[in-house]
Amino acid sequence: MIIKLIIDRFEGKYAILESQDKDPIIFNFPRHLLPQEAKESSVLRFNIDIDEKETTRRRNKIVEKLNRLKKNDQGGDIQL
Amino acid sequence: MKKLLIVLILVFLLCFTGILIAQENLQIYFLDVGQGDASVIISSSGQVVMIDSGPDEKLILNYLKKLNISQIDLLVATHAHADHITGMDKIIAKCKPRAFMDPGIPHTTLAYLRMINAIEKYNVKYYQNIARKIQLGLMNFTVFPNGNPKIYVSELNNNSVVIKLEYKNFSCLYTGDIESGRENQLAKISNINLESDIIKIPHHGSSTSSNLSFIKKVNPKVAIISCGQNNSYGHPSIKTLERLEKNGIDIYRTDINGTILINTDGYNYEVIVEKSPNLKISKKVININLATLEDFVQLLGIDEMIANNILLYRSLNKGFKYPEEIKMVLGIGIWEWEEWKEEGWIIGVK
Repeated sequence: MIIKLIIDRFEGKYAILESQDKDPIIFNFPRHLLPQEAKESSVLRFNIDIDEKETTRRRNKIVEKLNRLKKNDQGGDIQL
Repeated sequence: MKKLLIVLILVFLLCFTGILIAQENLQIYFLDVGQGDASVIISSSGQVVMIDSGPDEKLILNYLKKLNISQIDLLVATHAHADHITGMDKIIAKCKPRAFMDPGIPHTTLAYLRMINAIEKYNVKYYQNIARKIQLGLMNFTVFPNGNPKIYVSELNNNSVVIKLEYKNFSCLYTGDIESGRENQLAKISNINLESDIIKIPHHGSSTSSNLSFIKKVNPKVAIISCGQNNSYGHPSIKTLERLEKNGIDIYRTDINGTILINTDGYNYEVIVEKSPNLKISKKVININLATLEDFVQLLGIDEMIANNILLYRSLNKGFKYPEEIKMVLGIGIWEWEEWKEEGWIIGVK
């Protein structure tokens, strides 16, 4: 999916972007992630897709860690 | 007898109009619109000038309703950024301004397109941002020249409409979001008079504006800073606050004082704030990377021992990176932090 966002302005480390909606949403975006040539008024094209492989990899990794923690619990009531 | 009567009527009429003239006054609102600028000027004879509309359409339309504004004589968009022109299209549709001015620098956002579309649709007379005077009743506006806009980092900010209101002996300078480049240019032009009682501080008090040479030229008694509570951009900068403070200028901020109203008869003026009327907020500014032991002990809950801890932490860590980092110092916690905020301290690191 390709979306268009407009650079309204820069404020320090942020670029402030405008979504192209009926009620545009104005939001902060890290300036350092934009191409150096980006200026106020630049129209940005974002090619957004979901990285399913990376999502699964990250989920598996955290599930692994959680399982390690859960293994230490024998169940039953807790007396602290 | 008849002659006497006519004379009496004349005297009465003169007195009456005299009273009317004496009562003529101006209200200048700097509206609390969050992170952005919006100001409305209303004369007692019903003339309305609006300079910028802030970042929030609903909010500004609500203010207009509250202030009972249904027509605007002069509408100014100091520049095209969204924190100054959001909702302009709706305001134009509702109030059909008699005149409109903006810097005429093209921007590609929807907010700007909608504003320009509305100007065309409602046949609002468009005036260019060039050195000129505008008279509206007893209000006299001076639009200052633009110099060379190409040298600037942000074209839009620096090309802001810079406009001064004069009303009898009273004056107020609007600066949009100009930065030091434009400030320096303005300060160098010899045949203009920037001097004003009140200044709307440029660019929400950012560190890239309010140069000393410019501030000295304006020589204001009161500075208005329009910015949002806890905004992510660090407006206003501690440096700007300190500079204004050092020059004996009273500071009012929409993030702290809420909406600020200036009432003037053209000779005297009063500043009325929505919140903490008598608090001299600007006095409570501390730069924790520069502050001395004596400065730190002014803070509630800080004795010399804790102050020394702060100094030690600061030298070990080569300074504080962000204000809340001070909570890492032994003896300082969330309690102290929240108390300082409650007391109106502005804690900064640059």
